[in-house]
Amino acid sequence: MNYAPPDLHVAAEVPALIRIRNVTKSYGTNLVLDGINLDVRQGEVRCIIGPSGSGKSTLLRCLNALTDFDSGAVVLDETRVGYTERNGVLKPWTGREAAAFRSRVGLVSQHVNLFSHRTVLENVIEGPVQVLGASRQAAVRTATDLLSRVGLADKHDSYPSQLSGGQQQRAAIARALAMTPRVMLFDEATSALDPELVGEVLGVMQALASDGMTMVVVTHEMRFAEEAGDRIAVMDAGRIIEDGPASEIFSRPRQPRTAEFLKDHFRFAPAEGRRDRA
Amino acid sequence: MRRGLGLTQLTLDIAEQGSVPLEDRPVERPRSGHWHRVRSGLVWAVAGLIAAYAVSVVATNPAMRWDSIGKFLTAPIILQGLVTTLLITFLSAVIGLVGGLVIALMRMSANPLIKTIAVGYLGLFRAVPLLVQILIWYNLGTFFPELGFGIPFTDIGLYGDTNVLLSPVVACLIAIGLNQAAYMGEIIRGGLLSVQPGQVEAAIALGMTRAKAFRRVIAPQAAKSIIPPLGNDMINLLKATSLVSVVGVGDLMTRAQGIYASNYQVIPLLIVASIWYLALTIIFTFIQGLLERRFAAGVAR
Repeated sequence: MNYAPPDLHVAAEVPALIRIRNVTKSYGTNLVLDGINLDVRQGEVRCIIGPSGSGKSTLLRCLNALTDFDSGAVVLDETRVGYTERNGVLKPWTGREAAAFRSRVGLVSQHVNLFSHRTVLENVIEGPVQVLGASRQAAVRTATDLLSRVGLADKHDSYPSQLSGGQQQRAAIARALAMTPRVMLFDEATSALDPELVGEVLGVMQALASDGMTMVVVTHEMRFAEEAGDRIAVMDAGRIIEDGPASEIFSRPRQPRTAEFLKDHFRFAPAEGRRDRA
Repeated sequence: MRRGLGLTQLTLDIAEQGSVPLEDRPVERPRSGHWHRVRSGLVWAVAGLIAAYAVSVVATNPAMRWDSIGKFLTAPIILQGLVTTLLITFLSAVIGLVGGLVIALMRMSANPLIKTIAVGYLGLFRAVPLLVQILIWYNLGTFFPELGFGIPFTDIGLYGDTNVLLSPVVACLIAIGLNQAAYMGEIIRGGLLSVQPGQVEAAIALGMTRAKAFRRVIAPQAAKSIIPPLGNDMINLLKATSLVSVVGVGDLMTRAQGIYASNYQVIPLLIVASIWYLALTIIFTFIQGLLERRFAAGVAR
């Protein structure tokens, strides 16, 4: 695999595009996010790994305001998530403001949710036309380009139910990209796919990373995190227990909990993954 | 001892079947037997006989008066009734659809008060027979002589004579429309619940407002599962309009009753009405089919 050493990919001086400060959230008595602090730099591939139920997905959904949090702050592209400044005071968003913000953040989730009543092409132009007010013609041009980039040039008129899981997920990536987002969020984008379809989706994500897209990737694909990730945050029980360059996390984990988690994940596919790093 | 005997018996059976392996032995195809053909022929013959007899009894009945069926089928007075029936059906369907959508959304509201109001509405309007509801609205003038808008507990406002405001047709429209809203509300709610939550989330994540997500994603997908029960409901509605004949609104049924009251050809005129109801139902079913195809996009085929 051809890639720049992750640590050098994005210089530390690049200002953070996303700043997460002391975010907490609980469902009833269950504390799912326990004081999260995290930065994502412009152009960085920021992976979040950790055991199921550690709060990764919840954190990701806080970034595009699909989930609200109890305290702390998230700033994304100089927007304080959840608030707009009016007369020097930060006022809670209206529904319209929340929608406008979400249109700038792409989300690809585990359960592929292409609009089932629309064709692939219609899915991709839906956002630009309906949300951004683009002309249908321009949206189709962009969509055509995006669909060939994700390898679906011949699937414009297919309905989602006629596609494989991997094709659906690639179409979902194209749909998110059609909004020209500042950031792409991936929430276990390959978890629901058959093993042989995972590679094609990861390939598209990797290409996107090489194009310089800022990406926050919650994943169980350790090889992807290792190869494409710049910095990795390890979450456990609502906290970030370790955070650092991919090379360090995978070769010299400092926390015993991280080492244990990685050991579990590499148990069945160790050899290849490790050799790449050597 | 007995177990030993059973085993011996089994071994003997296998031996008798010869040396042909089980997978190579011929099998009898299901439903291919001689007896099956005889039996299905018999069923057809009996059914045909019964049908032929039923037709001949009706057709040769001297009280049948085929000539008057033909005459009244397209008589202006019947056609006027037909138009009234269609009008009541259409307008109460509109009231029912709009009201039903409101009731469905209220029923799914997170606000317990709004939800309770919707549940109460459903309970009330589905419990009281439609005939009773029609009579209540029709006779409302005997209970509230005046209706209008105003400030409660004062005389300020606009009021009018109930019997003028609620003409028989309007009373029927309100009665049937509000009753429809209750049934439609449950149909619409079922359709809305059938939309995968992820579809809504995808629309929201794309930056759609809730209203836009409803129009662009939820409504078209819900329509797919709403249409079959809706078609059912429309046909029910069409036939339920015949109940307005109790207050003499001049629909198809009222007209047919009016004619047979004077010429005593009861069955022929009921058949005239039946033929029109049948024709309208066929048209409704056809439209339902068209709509189903229109909203079937994306279903695996």
